Amino acid sequence: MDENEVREAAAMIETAKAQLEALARQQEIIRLTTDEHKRAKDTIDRVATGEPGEEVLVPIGADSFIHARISDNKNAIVSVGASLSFQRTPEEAAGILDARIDELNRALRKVGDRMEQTEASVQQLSERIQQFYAQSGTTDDS
Amino acid sequence: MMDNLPPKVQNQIAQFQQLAQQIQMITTQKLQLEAQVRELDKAVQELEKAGEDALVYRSVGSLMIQAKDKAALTNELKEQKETMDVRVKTLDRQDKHLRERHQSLQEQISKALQIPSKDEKDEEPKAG
Repeated sequence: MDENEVREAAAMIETAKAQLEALARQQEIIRLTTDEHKRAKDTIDRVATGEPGEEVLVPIGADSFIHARISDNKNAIVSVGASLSFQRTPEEAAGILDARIDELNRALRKVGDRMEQTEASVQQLSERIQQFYAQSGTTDDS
Repeated sequence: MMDNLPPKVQNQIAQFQQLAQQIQMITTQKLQLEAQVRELDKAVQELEKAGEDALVYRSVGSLMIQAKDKAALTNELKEQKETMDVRVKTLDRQDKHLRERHQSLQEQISKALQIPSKDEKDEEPKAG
């Protein structure tokens, strides 16, 4: 390794670190989305086993609620994307949400794998730079 | 370090960094558009397989409004998809063009800084 390659490796480490930050953000978004899907599924399951006319509290944000009654517990509305939603039975809706949770889990694993690969390459590059400075008898101030 | 370089190379490096940013922006836009196209595709499929009595709602601001005319809605989504397909193709062309310029600038900078490019390194005869 020569000095040019050390500079190149240092730049690659910086890029990899930025990638790791972006991947960590992606991971967090996927986790939050998965939790949201699980909450929606639990709600549909619970409402379906109740009675029509059951009283519930509907969140309106800022930890505030209003009273409401379930007028129809045999149907749920699920989004299919592109601003469209379809009415489905609770079982169908739960199936759709389960499929999406599986998809999100797969995406989370992929992001995790990419993070591991990126971390390994950062480690490898750092070791090579340290080796260069150890051999040349100088210190790495970066 | 940049101050020691000739102005021409400094300019090339600045252009190179700008191009990298533009490529990143275009890639992000393309990914977003492709995701929207997939979403539209899926929505059209769901609409086409939905029965006559299926209830379909459309988000309008924070309201969900029942869509009565499914055929018109399907056509509207298909048109949206076509428009997005065209935009994806345009971004593809821009991306290709920018990557070519990026590559050529990288070669020019490497030459100016006398850093052997990967291809040149591969061509170097092995010692021993």
